[in-house]
Amino acid sequence: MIRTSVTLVTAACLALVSTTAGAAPKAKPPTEEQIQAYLADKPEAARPLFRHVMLDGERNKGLYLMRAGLASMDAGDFRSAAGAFDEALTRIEAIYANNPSAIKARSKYVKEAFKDFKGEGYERSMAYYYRGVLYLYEGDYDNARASFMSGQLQDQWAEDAEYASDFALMDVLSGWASQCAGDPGLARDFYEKARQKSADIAIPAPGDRTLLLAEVGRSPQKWADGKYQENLRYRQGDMSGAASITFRLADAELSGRPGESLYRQAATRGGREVDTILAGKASFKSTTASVASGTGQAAMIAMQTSNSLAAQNYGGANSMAYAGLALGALSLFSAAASAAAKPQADIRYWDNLPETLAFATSPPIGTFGQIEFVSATGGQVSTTLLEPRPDPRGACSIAWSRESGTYAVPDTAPNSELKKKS
Amino acid sequence: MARNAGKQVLFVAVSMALLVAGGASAQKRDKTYDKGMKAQELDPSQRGPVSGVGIESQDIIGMTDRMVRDMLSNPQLAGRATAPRVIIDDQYFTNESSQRLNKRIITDRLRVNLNRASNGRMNFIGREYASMVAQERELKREGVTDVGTTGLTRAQAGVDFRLTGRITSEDSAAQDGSGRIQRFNQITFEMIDLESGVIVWSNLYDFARVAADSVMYR
Repeated sequence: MIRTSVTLVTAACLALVSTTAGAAPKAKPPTEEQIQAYLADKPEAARPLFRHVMLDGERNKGLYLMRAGLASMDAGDFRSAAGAFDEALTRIEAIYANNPSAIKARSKYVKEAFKDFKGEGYERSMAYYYRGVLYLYEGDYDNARASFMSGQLQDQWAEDAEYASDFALMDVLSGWASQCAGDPGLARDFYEKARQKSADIAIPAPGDRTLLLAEVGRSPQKWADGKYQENLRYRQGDMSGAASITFRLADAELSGRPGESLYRQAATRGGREVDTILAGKASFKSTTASVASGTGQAAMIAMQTSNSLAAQNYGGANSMAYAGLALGALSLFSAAASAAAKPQADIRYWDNLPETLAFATSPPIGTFGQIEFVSATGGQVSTTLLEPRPDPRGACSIAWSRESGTYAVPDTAPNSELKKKS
Repeated sequence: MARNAGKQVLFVAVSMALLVAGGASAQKRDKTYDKGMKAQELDPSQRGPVSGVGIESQDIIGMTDRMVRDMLSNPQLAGRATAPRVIIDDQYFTNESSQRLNKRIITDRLRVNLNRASNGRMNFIGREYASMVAQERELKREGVTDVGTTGLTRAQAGVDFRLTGRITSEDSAAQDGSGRIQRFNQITFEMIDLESGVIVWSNLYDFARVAADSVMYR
């Protein structure tokens, strides 16, 4: 009987392990020839990131598409950037109902990071933001507006209603797209929405036809705390570089107006629905660990008592031994369940994002100039060429730029590897 | 006594195994697409396996078919003694919705189906090709090419009616923790008399959809 019981417990543990192993689905990796064919029309600087799009599988594809899309914009290859963001947005827009990876990630024994990456609200909003900017370059104002509207919608799940859909720059840009499309009425509606969310946000004048966008600092970072790293947290990225922006032209000088802080957007999101699940996983891990410890001690006492009873030839020694064995099995089982539970929060993040978005608008500008990135103490950190580009329809012009050096990132995205033993 | 204790051990072990392993197996992953999926035909008039709350292929087919039938039953458009000249393109068809969309997928389908079904009751003008036509006319008149077989006209065709339209949407999100998003989509179509500005025909197509993403993304 004892042997049967031990066998059953062992089988149960094996069943548990086999049904809950968190291994990612393995698809056949692409050949080097396929990778080279895919990379052939991609900008040189973004190729290491696009390579990961091919290699990392569906779990990280959205993340690498966002990184590669932005790196392509930096490299001035807007066609590759648009393609990458379109693919990323397809993933963001897909309704993950009954999605196998998402279902699996809910399991107590699988990390949240097992799910396919869509990003948190601020990351999804930024994917729409960049696609919208690319549409502005193309002069496709309808789709630019749709992108900025969708970017705003990604911010609607904030825990505190005060911070829901408060990405005022998205409304300003929806208004801008409407203004350039020749619909001042719709533009006014969006500007009014922007003012309601941020009283200080700069609103373009009706006669403005040039939009200047610039970005400084490095992306917010995700990290985790809690006993089992189950709480998702954010910290501000490096802001040691520029603190303000000046758009300097031969005939004009414009100050970059505050658009948005991505750290603010990330940190004001509040608790997520998935946090409740992670808390449940953490509670399970903790409870099973306690049960394992308690029953383990009880098993020891039972076995010692059994030995004493046997030594003194009292009855009941066998019963006590069996009880000790049962408690020991329960302890082992609970310890196995506790060790297998994975409540860790998903801390993958889009790391070549900036920290701060700034913008300015003006009447038509026909000249080249430069963007000056200025430190908090007033020193010039860097400059870059300012080249407003008219859209193909000639309705408006746009220039987009970043503080130099802020977009260099490692080939591998932060925390993107799924380590089984942690 | 020993037999009872053994049964208890068995009971505890099996119960725990069923409890935990059973809970885990409920989360078993669908491996159907692990090795990818060969391309397969889908009926574009039916909702496909990947769908959201916005305009999809079945909406485009459904709405354009309905608009074609409605326009052909309108005597001001399809019952004239002389077939009117009509432009149907995306120039005045605007997308004010929150969905990124290639509007031409709607206007092209509308024009092609209407052209085929009208059987000469309406003539369609390709204004977006005006520069191509002008270039060929110039070659003919300069004698670089001959005049072709259909003869010359004094000018390119003037137009009687032009299609306009608007795609709009209203999005809302449930704030009850369910993660549901809802979108009301409305697509309007109007035919404008290009001489008087009178709207000679209107119709609209609307629908609302609700969906919720997995809790893992909320």
